[in-house]
Amino acid sequence: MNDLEDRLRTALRAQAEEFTVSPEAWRRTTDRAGTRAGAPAGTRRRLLPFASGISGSGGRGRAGRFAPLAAAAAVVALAVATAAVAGTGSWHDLVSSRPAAAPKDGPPTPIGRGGPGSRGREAIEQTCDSPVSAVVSFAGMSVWISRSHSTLAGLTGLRLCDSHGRWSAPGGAASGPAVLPHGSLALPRGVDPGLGLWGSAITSVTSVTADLANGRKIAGQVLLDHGFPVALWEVNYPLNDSAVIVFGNAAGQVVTTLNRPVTPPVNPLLHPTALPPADAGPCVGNGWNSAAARAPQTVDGHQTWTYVQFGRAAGGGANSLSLCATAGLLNGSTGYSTTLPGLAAGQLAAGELDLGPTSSAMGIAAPAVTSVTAVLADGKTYAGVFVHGRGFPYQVWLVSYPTTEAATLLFRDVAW
Amino acid sequence: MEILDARSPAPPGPPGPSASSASSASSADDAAVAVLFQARYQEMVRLAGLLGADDPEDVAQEAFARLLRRHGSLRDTEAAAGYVRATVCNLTRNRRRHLRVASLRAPAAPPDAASSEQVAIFREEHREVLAALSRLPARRREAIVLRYWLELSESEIAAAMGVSTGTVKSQVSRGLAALGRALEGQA
Repeated sequence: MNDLEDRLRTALRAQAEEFTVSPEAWRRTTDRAGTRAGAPAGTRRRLLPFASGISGSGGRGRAGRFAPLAAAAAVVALAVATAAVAGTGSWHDLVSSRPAAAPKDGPPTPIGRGGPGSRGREAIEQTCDSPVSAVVSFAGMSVWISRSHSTLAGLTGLRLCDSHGRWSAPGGAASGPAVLPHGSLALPRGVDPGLGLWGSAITSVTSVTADLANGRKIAGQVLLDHGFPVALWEVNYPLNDSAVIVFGNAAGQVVTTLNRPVTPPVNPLLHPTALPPADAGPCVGNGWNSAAARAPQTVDGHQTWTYVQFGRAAGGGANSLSLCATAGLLNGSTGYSTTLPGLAAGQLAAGELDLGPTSSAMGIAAPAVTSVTAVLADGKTYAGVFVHGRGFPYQVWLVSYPTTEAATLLFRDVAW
Repeated sequence: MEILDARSPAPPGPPGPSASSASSASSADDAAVAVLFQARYQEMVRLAGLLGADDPEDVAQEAFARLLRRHGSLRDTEAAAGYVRATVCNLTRNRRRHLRVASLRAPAAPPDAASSEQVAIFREEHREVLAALSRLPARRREAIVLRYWLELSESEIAAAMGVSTGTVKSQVSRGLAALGRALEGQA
């Protein structure tokens, strides 16, 4: 491999990320083909062991409207056929908590390693760019499961991703929750202002309720979808109160409960990920030597974009790792850049990007951190996002709010 | 898809075993294409874009639509993936040829102004490489993109382009040489 080949690969990857796909793509494709793709409802139910407890109303008439969902259902049905296209995959990560004794509810055949076409994919490391499920709309977000090849230590595998820029990691508590790890019946995932607590659960769960310490009960909602191997749930209750989250099934029985004591926000750098060997290039002046990840946000009606990447100051040593960002308003002002140096020293790095009508604060966070919120003095809250990119040694938090006003930044992990 | 809340009536239970008789060969094929679509659609859009398609999604959708029309073609899934890849290459090549002819009959449009996002993400080094790549003949550009972006083997590239492996070797080699010369000239 020579310098020209390196430059070529880097440039192609960077340009490839600029091509986006429409959520309507599958419908348009099937319209074009004159088909309504996706197996008939009966077939999907038979082949989709996750589907127990789901309403039978998902008939053929909905197949076109939710064709991508049928597509993901077929992931299970056609596990063998998928082997060559989906790379490694352990749907056991998602459904291993289901009773193994019940064949119709049992986990599907694990998906095997990809064929020749997957060779060399190591070079295309993504965090949430390789969906292996349908993309479902839930509580104002898009949620999907992605195969990840991030270089973050121990964080490869399947992840639950959402359009707010977060992801879950497989494995133990040190790296955050999996989509639904072995033995779990329900798992909290994050907290959003206006949304409350939400997470994943096995698909026999049809209801969720927060039982507060004062005796009040607040009902939440559960999303069950043919194209999604886990149930998604959310319950919005005063997060300053302790609560027991109760998950029920269609028969009215309690499936499981989660205790939610009030805990303080977490240190964003708790258990930071060790930095990889120094291989990042300079952020500025000599091209983008590592991939930049894009993070769009909408804040008070302003659409912003931010590109972030890690790099090293020219001539810098091992402690010169920097987080670099360029941001701007969509169809608006010119981008504004900032560089946060000295990340290898491990301190909490934070910086601001002034975009005129709005502004952003950003920094790095440990993998366990799953939410960042800016709380202004008047109580107004702004939810932030997390940005992940190829080879990123840390996840990057980014929250846009009027930084001219005093605010408290709250970082929380999945235990919030 | 449905949203259930704690106040809604309990949904019906899972369907009975009789539902299993509903499958058919064509629906299984469609579902298999759907799986392939989930796994590869974005990649095919990007491939079309890197090959210079003016509407990469249109190309990728047409490629998968053609696969959907070929019932039974998913008996070998990897072959189906190769079919889609080759179709994307062919469609992009044809589209670019059409646009080239059309451009001869139409007044030249002003070049697109780079957005601030493009300015942010495409630093000068990338622009030089990508501009040099775009000036390569279509076949050479295809070989380079398939080799250095999709990381395909020579035989896979040959299948996608519909040429021999020897041609692939020469196209990649000449493409790299041309890129090297172009970039040296700008240095």
